[in-house]
Amino acid sequence: MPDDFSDVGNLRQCAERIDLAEQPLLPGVQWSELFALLALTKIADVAWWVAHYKKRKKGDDDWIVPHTLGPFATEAMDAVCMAEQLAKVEQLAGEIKADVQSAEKAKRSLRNQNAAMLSHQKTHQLIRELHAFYLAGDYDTYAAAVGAFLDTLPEVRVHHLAQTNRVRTLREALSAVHRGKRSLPE
Amino acid sequence: MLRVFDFQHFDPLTGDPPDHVQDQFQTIAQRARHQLKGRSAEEVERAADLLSWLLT
Repeated sequence: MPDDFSDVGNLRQCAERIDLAEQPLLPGVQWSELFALLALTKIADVAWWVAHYKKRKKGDDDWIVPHTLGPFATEAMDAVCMAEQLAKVEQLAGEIKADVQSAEKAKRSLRNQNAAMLSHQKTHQLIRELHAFYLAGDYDTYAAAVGAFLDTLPEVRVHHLAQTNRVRTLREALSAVHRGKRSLPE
Repeated sequence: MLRVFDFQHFDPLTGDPPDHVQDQFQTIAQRARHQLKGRSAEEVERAADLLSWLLT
Protein backbone atom coordinates (compact mmCIF):
# COMPACT_ATOMS: atom_id res chain seq x y z
CA MET A 1 0.00 0.00 0.00
CA PRO A 2 1.23 3.53 -0.69
CA ASP A 3 2.55 5.52 2.26
CA ASP A 4 0.82 8.71 3.30
CA PHE A 5 3.43 10.93 1.64
CA SER A 6 3.01 9.57 -1.86
CA ASP A 7 0.60 11.14 -4.32
CA VAL A 8 -1.45 7.94 -4.25
CA GLY A 9 -1.65 8.11 -0.46
CA ASN A 10 -2.59 11.80 -0.58
CA LEU A 11 -5.25 11.21 -3.19
CA ARG A 12 -6.63 8.31 -1.19
CA GLN A 13 -6.99 10.62 1.81
CA CYS A 14 -8.79 13.13 -0.42
CA ALA A 15 -11.14 10.38 -1.59
CA GLU A 16 -12.04 9.63 2.02
CA ARG A 17 -12.84 13.26 2.83
CA ILE A 18 -14.07 14.98 -0.32
CA ASP A 19 -17.32 14.53 -2.22
CA LEU A 20 -16.57 14.87 -5.93
CA ALA A 21 -20.21 15.69 -6.65
CA GLU A 22 -19.59 19.15 -5.17
CA GLN A 23 -16.78 20.15 -7.52
CA PRO A 24 -17.62 22.08 -10.72
CA LEU A 25 -14.46 21.37 -12.76
CA LEU A 26 -15.61 18.07 -14.24
CA PRO A 27 -19.13 17.04 -13.21
CA GLY A 28 -19.59 13.29 -12.96
CA VAL A 29 -15.90 12.46 -12.64
CA GLN A 30 -15.19 9.39 -10.52
CA TRP A 31 -12.33 8.77 -8.12
CA SER A 32 -11.30 5.77 -10.19
CA GLU A 33 -10.69 8.12 -13.13
CA LEU A 34 -8.57 10.46 -11.03
CA PHE A 35 -6.41 7.57 -9.81
CA ALA A 36 -6.06 6.36 -13.41
CA LEU A 37 -5.01 9.83 -14.47
CA LEU A 38 -2.56 9.96 -11.58
CA ALA A 39 -0.94 6.80 -12.95
CA LEU A 40 -0.61 8.52 -16.32
CA THR A 41 0.93 11.61 -14.72
CA LYS A 42 3.61 9.33 -13.27
CA ILE A 43 4.40 8.13 -16.78
CA ALA A 44 4.44 11.76 -17.90
CA ASP A 45 6.97 12.44 -15.10
CA VAL A 46 9.06 9.57 -16.42
CA ALA A 47 8.85 10.93 -19.96
CA TRP A 48 9.94 14.34 -18.73
CA TRP A 49 12.80 12.83 -16.74
CA VAL A 50 14.00 10.71 -19.66
CA ALA A 51 13.80 13.64 -22.10
CA HIS A 52 15.98 15.77 -19.85
CA TYR A 53 18.32 12.93 -19.01
CA LYS A 54 18.92 12.22 -22.69
CA LYS A 55 19.97 15.80 -23.28
CA ARG A 56 22.67 15.58 -20.64
CA LYS A 57 23.77 11.95 -20.78
CA LYS A 58 27.42 11.12 -21.34
CA GLY A 59 28.94 7.68 -21.73
CA ASP A 60 27.39 4.26 -21.47
CA ASP A 61 25.18 4.65 -18.43
CA ASP A 62 21.74 3.81 -19.79
CA TRP A 63 21.18 1.49 -16.83
CA ILE A 64 20.64 4.58 -14.66
CA VAL A 65 17.31 5.37 -16.28
CA PRO A 66 15.30 2.24 -15.39
CA HIS A 67 16.85 2.10 -11.93
CA THR A 68 16.14 5.73 -11.14
CA LEU A 69 12.59 5.50 -12.42
CA GLY A 70 11.61 2.58 -10.20
CA PRO A 71 9.67 4.72 -7.70
CA PHE A 72 7.62 6.21 -10.55
CA ALA A 73 6.74 2.71 -11.73
CA THR A 74 5.75 1.65 -8.23
CA GLU A 75 3.51 4.64 -7.73
CA ALA A 76 1.99 4.37 -11.20
CA MET A 77 1.17 0.71 -10.50
CA ASP A 78 -0.31 1.60 -7.09
CA ALA A 79 -2.45 4.29 -8.70
CA VAL A 80 -3.78 2.09 -11.48
CA CYS A 81 -4.56 -0.76 -9.05
CA MET A 82 -6.44 1.69 -6.85
CA ALA A 83 -8.31 2.97 -9.92
CA GLU A 84 -9.39 -0.55 -10.87
CA GLN A 85 -10.53 -1.40 -7.34
CA LEU A 86 -12.49 1.83 -7.07
CA ALA A 87 -14.07 1.30 -10.48
CA LYS A 88 -15.51 -2.01 -9.25
CA VAL A 89 -16.88 -0.34 -6.12
CA GLU A 90 -18.34 2.53 -8.15
CA GLN A 91 -19.97 0.12 -10.58
CA LEU A 92 -21.50 -1.83 -7.69
CA ALA A 93 -22.71 1.39 -6.06
CA GLY A 94 -24.28 2.44 -9.37
CA GLU A 95 -26.08 -0.89 -9.68
CA ILE A 96 -27.36 -0.68 -6.10
CA LYS A 97 -28.58 2.88 -6.72
CA ALA A 98 -30.40 1.73 -9.87
CA ASP A 99 -31.97 -1.16 -7.95
CA VAL A 100 -33.13 1.19 -5.19
CA GLN A 101 -34.62 3.60 -7.73
CA SER A 102 -36.36 0.72 -9.49
CA ALA A 103 -37.76 -0.57 -6.19
CA GLU A 104 -38.99 2.92 -5.25
CA LYS A 105 -40.68 3.25 -8.64
CA ALA A 106 -42.40 -0.13 -8.19
CA LYS A 107 -43.48 0.90 -4.71
CA ARG A 108 -44.97 4.17 -6.02
CA SER A 109 -46.75 2.29 -8.78
CA LEU A 110 -48.21 -0.21 -6.31
CA ARG A 111 -49.30 2.62 -4.01
CA ASN A 112 -51.02 4.36 -6.93
CA GLN A 113 -52.75 1.12 -7.93
CA ASN A 114 -53.97 0.61 -4.36
CA ALA A 115 -55.21 4.19 -4.20
CA ALA A 116 -57.04 3.76 -7.50
CA MET A 117 -58.59 0.48 -6.33
CA LEU A 118 -59.72 2.10 -3.07
CA SER A 119 -61.23 4.98 -5.00
CA HIS A 120 -63.12 2.56 -7.25
CA GLN A 121 -64.44 0.65 -4.24
CA LYS A 122 -65.73 3.88 -2.71
CA THR A 123 -67.43 4.81 -5.99
CA HIS A 124 -69.01 1.36 -6.32
CA GLN A 125 -70.39 1.65 -2.79
CA LEU A 126 -71.85 5.07 -3.66
CA ILE A 127 -73.50 3.67 -6.81
CA ARG A 128 -75.10 0.85 -4.84
CA GLU A 129 -76.43 3.30 -2.26
CA LEU A 130 -77.55 5.74 -4.96
CA HIS A 131 -79.48 3.02 -6.76
CA ALA A 132 -81.31 2.06 -3.56
CA PHE A 133 -81.91 5.75 -2.84
CA TYR A 134 -83.38 6.27 -6.31
CA LEU A 135 -85.70 3.27 -6.07
CA ALA A 136 -86.91 4.34 -2.65
CA GLY A 137 -87.82 7.85 -3.79
CA ASP A 138 -89.77 9.54 -6.57
CA TYR A 139 -87.53 11.60 -8.80
CA ASP A 140 -88.27 13.08 -12.22
CA THR A 141 -84.74 12.72 -13.44
CA TYR A 142 -81.59 10.84 -12.55
CA ALA A 143 -79.86 14.16 -12.01
CA ALA A 144 -82.46 15.17 -9.42
CA ALA A 145 -81.94 11.88 -7.59
CA VAL A 146 -78.18 12.36 -7.64
CA GLY A 147 -78.52 15.92 -6.34
CA ALA A 148 -80.76 14.82 -3.48
CA PHE A 149 -78.51 11.86 -2.75
CA LEU A 150 -75.40 14.02 -2.57
CA ASP A 151 -77.17 16.39 -0.17
CA THR A 152 -77.47 13.51 2.31
CA LEU A 153 -73.75 12.67 2.22
CA PRO A 154 -70.87 14.30 4.04
CA GLU A 155 -68.11 15.62 1.77
CA VAL A 156 -65.70 12.99 3.03
CA ARG A 157 -67.75 10.28 1.31
CA VAL A 158 -67.40 11.87 -2.13
CA HIS A 159 -64.14 13.81 -1.98
CA HIS A 160 -62.41 11.14 -4.12
CA LEU A 161 -64.67 12.26 -7.00
CA ALA A 162 -63.73 15.55 -8.63
CA GLN A 163 -66.36 18.13 -7.73
CA THR A 164 -66.91 19.13 -11.36
CA ASN A 165 -67.49 15.53 -12.44
CA ARG A 166 -69.18 13.83 -9.52
CA VAL A 167 -72.79 14.59 -10.53
CA ARG A 168 -72.19 13.44 -14.10
CA THR A 169 -70.30 10.30 -12.97
CA LEU A 170 -73.02 9.23 -10.57
CA ARG A 171 -75.87 10.18 -12.92
CA GLU A 172 -74.41 8.13 -15.78
CA ALA A 173 -73.75 5.18 -13.46
CA LEU A 174 -77.31 5.34 -12.08
CA SER A 175 -78.74 5.57 -15.57
CA ALA A 176 -76.73 2.58 -16.77
CA VAL A 177 -77.66 0.43 -13.77
CA HIS A 178 -81.33 1.39 -13.85
CA ARG A 179 -81.68 0.70 -17.57
CA GLY A 180 -79.92 -2.62 -17.22
CA LYS A 181 -76.91 -1.58 -19.27
CA ARG A 182 -74.68 -2.17 -16.31
CA SER A 183 -74.97 -4.53 -13.36
CA LEU A 184 -74.73 -3.21 -9.84
CA PRO A 185 -71.08 -3.15 -8.83
CA GLU A 186 -70.13 -5.64 -6.12
CA MET B 1 1.44 26.77 -5.13
CA LEU B 2 -0.67 24.96 -7.73
CA ARG B 3 1.01 21.89 -9.14
CA VAL B 4 0.86 21.64 -12.92
CA PHE B 5 1.20 18.32 -14.68
CA ASP B 6 3.49 18.41 -17.66
CA PHE B 7 2.16 16.34 -20.54
CA GLN B 8 4.61 17.84 -23.04
CA HIS B 9 6.49 14.56 -23.45
CA PHE B 10 3.62 12.15 -22.92
CA ASP B 11 0.00 12.56 -24.01
CA PRO B 12 -2.12 10.86 -21.32
CA LEU B 13 -4.64 9.49 -23.84
CA THR B 14 -2.49 8.63 -26.84
CA GLY B 15 1.21 8.91 -26.00
CA ASP B 16 3.75 6.12 -25.82
CA PRO B 17 5.98 5.78 -22.75
CA PRO B 18 9.68 6.54 -23.37
CA ASP B 19 11.62 3.85 -25.25
CA HIS B 20 13.93 3.14 -22.30
CA VAL B 21 11.07 2.00 -20.09
CA GLN B 22 8.29 1.23 -22.52
CA ASP B 23 7.93 -2.39 -21.38
CA GLN B 24 7.44 -1.37 -17.77
CA PHE B 25 4.96 1.42 -18.39
CA GLN B 26 2.99 0.40 -21.47
CA THR B 27 0.72 -2.00 -19.58
CA ILE B 28 0.11 0.52 -16.82
CA ALA B 29 -0.80 3.15 -19.39
CA GLN B 30 -3.25 0.79 -21.11
CA ARG B 31 -4.93 -0.15 -17.84
CA ALA B 32 -5.19 3.49 -16.78
CA ARG B 33 -6.62 4.53 -20.15
CA HIS B 34 -9.21 1.78 -19.87
CA GLN B 35 -10.54 3.57 -16.77
CA LEU B 36 -10.70 6.83 -18.73
CA LYS B 37 -12.51 5.25 -21.68
CA GLY B 38 -14.93 7.71 -23.24
CA ARG B 39 -13.22 10.80 -21.84
CA SER B 40 -12.14 13.47 -24.31
CA ALA B 41 -8.80 15.26 -24.23
CA GLU B 42 -10.53 18.33 -22.86
CA GLU B 43 -12.15 16.35 -20.06
CA VAL B 44 -8.82 14.76 -19.17
CA GLU B 45 -7.29 18.23 -19.08
CA ARG B 46 -9.99 19.37 -16.64
CA ALA B 47 -9.51 16.19 -14.60
CA ALA B 48 -5.80 17.02 -14.44
CA ASP B 49 -6.67 20.50 -13.14
CA LEU B 50 -8.85 18.89 -10.49
CA LEU B 51 -6.10 16.41 -9.60
CA SER B 52 -3.64 19.26 -9.39
CA TRP B 53 -5.93 21.14 -7.01
CA LEU B 54 -6.47 18.06 -4.85
CA LEU B 55 -2.78 17.26 -4.53
CA THR B 56 -1.59 20.81 -3.91
